[in-house]
Amino acid sequence: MKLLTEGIILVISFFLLWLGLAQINWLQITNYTTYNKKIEKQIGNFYWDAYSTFNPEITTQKIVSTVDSITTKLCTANNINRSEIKLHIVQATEINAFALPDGHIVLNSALLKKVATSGELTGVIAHELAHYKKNHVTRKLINEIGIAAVLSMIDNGKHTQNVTSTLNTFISSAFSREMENEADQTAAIYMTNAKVNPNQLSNFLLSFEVDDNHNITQWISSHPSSIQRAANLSKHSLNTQYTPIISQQTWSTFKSNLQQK
Amino acid sequence: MIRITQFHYKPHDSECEKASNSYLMSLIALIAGMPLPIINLIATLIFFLANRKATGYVRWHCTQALLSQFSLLFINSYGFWWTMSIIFSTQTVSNNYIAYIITMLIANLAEFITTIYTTIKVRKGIHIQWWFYGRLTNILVQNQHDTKGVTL
Repeated sequence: MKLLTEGIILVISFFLLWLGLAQINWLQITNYTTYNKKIEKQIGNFYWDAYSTFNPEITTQKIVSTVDSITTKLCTANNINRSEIKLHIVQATEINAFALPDGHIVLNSALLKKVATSGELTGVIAHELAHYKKNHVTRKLINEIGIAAVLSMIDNGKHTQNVTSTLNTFISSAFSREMENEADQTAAIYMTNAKVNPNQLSNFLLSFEVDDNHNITQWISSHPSSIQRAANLSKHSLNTQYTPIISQQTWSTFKSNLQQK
Repeated sequence: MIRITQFHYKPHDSECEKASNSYLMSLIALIAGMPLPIINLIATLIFFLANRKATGYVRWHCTQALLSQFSLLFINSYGFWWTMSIIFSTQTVSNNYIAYIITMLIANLAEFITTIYTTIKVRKGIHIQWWFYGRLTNILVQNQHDTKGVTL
């Protein structure tokens, strides 16, 4: 009996200590969130600088403002702080879009030329936004490169071969299936909240697998099966009250400006 | 936390040394084995198995040292896998997690201090019984008349 009593008291003491300590806001005391944000900002800026060195950013107002409108609408509808998101449109022949740490979202001009409707573009932006908000980007960085390695690269301040190869981690390799699925589902929610039909993202995925020249585009080839993803997305299309974020005229102007690039 | 009692016989000096070594096993493995929680248990288990046929005093303390490692194994393993899930999956650092790690460190520190104290005392032939583990060891270790020791 004494043995049992002593055992129970030991176990209860452990849990009481844990419970008591859990009442303290350790994240605030240690400034964990602030420190994390600071490191993420450093890393995000570092990699954006590295990428933009070889891929010039498009600053044409009519192109930037259109994409900005879509992004702002998505953020507003989903209570996301727009100022957190740093949107970049770059001149590149590769059809690709990706997210970097600290809210950098990069859209290649080739991808913007390829999307058929503003809804499809909304889907792509929503997908990358989801990767950022769900913390997939930082997690991938830690898993595949190691945070110490990244910080040492930043400290060196040089765009070495290591930087290029680690940059490819963001550009060319997909997240895990779990993360991609989560990003798709979250993107569908973001689109629905912004009153954009999430089917548009499905359409984009399905129409994009193999283009006319049988070249599998980078954005798709690095992701899991488009057909499966489209099927998973279709269940979100319940709300029929959809409104386009931008007018058809604005979209046409946007596309024609892009074609000139 | 600990009780100083008398063993049923006065142990010989060589027995005291062996008995205190069982606690040292977990300390050495602690330094070398962190953060893998199983190393401490394995080291203590190997020492226990090696001294299965030793005298009563040695067997008793080998058993107490081994039993104390089991609860730490669960505590440390849970903390280890929680940390792994934060690094490799979608879990994030939270106040609960930090509180658990601190609690785990306190438990390990308490065990560390108690082990060092017990090592020193047992080496001198003083019979130390830990709270709960001492009683459990009493049940598990049969007190046999031992020709090498003195039966009180």
